[in-house]
Amino acid sequence: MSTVSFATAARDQFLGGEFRRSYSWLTASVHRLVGSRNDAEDLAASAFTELAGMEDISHIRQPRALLTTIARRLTYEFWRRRDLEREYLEQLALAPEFSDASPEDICEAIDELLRIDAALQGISAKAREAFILSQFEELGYAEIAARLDVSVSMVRKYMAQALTACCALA
Amino acid sequence: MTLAAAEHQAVMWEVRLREDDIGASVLNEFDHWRTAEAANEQAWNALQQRLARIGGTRSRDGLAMARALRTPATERRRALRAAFGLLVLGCGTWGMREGMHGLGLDADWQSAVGERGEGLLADGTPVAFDANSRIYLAGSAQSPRLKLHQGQVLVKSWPQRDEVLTVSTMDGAVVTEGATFNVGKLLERSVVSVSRGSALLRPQLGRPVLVSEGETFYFNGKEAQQTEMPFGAVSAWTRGVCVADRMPLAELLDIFGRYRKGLLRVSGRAAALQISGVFRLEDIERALLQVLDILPVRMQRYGSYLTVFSAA
Repeated sequence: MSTVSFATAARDQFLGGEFRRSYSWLTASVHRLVGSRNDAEDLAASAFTELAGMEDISHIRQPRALLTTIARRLTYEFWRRRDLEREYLEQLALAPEFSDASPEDICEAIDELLRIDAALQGISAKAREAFILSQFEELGYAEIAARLDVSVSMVRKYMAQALTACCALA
Repeated sequence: MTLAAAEHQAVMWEVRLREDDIGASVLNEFDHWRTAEAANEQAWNALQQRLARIGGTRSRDGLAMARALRTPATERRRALRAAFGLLVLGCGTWGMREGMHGLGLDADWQSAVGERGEGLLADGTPVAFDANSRIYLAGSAQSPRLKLHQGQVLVKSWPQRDEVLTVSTMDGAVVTEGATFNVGKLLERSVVSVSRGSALLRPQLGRPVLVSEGETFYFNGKEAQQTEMPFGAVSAWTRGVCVADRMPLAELLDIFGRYRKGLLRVSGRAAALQISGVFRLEDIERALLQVLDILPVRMQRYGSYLTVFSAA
């Protein structure tokens, strides 16, 4: 019982100290990359939130290296979201039938887009493209094979990889 | 990724049912599989729900989704690797040597980016140092030791005497009883060039080498290697010029970084490309364009802070 509370106190002390030492450093580092102070603070704060959420922090020898790794992933996701969002909205703008889409709909669609994008990151570029062609453009395997310059049996393998990746979606 | 058996089978059925022409027998077979076990039915429904949420041609924004998903991610990744790679290196230094010392902020002599400096040792020996240099002073007034943490230093004259002057970098030490010489800490090695007199170069772990008048050596912790670069070329920074002779691009960009704020990074195989040329340090933007002219590389800027070179 007492060991638990001691561990909790040590943990709070560690996190508090690290926050004082590294928050502005991390914010400044990220700021240079993302260009906006607010975004940088959000990203740095998220990195600390993840650090605080880790099960066992007693073994962390170099908190800054770890924070950097977390911040890198968050910054990537941040950039990626912005890229995907921009592209998606541009495409919607070209289609007049979407003029009635509500901001909530669009937000939801972008969240979904990010989830799929993340799930498809683990497979090859060709497998990703095969899936996009099948799922969104409804092309048959023969047509996909011709476009990607691979065999139809290869397209089947790609589809199996992509669908397996989609199964990991929450 | 490993899936449970039923989930894997569901995926394989989905692949099969998207075939261009499926006959009735395949559909029968599928129905048979689906109804054979509750787990199969469950796995199938779960997959269909996921796919429905992803959308497709039947959802009206399918094409916009497809376009967005094709947005390439590689440039972003490369830029992040380049930028955060340096941060992690910085962290390593921080971990080993607490605080200011790791960054050289407590150095006795330090110059800002873009500003060269000059100083006098206790006995009046004149010294010049390059922009963004960090130098620690140690030893005695008679026998001083200069620790060059980063940058370059030119000892303008140390007339012949019994006491020695030492200039060291993390790669090794240069000791002299009388010389005019230049020592520089480069990205992955150091350089020493003697204009008058002579000096003994002791790589951290390797055999000592005598550097005579007019000679230049590159050295790392293990060994020293003579080069044909004349003293005037090695010390050209004192006149605001950088002379490169088959220099790795990464090393040149590191030197440019002494004169320009922000990160200059080079990714992948472009780092090892060798470059020769004369670059004006007062106009780094122009020097960067010169690099583009000389080497098959391209340059991308991410905001004003990060600039990345990669193989074209």
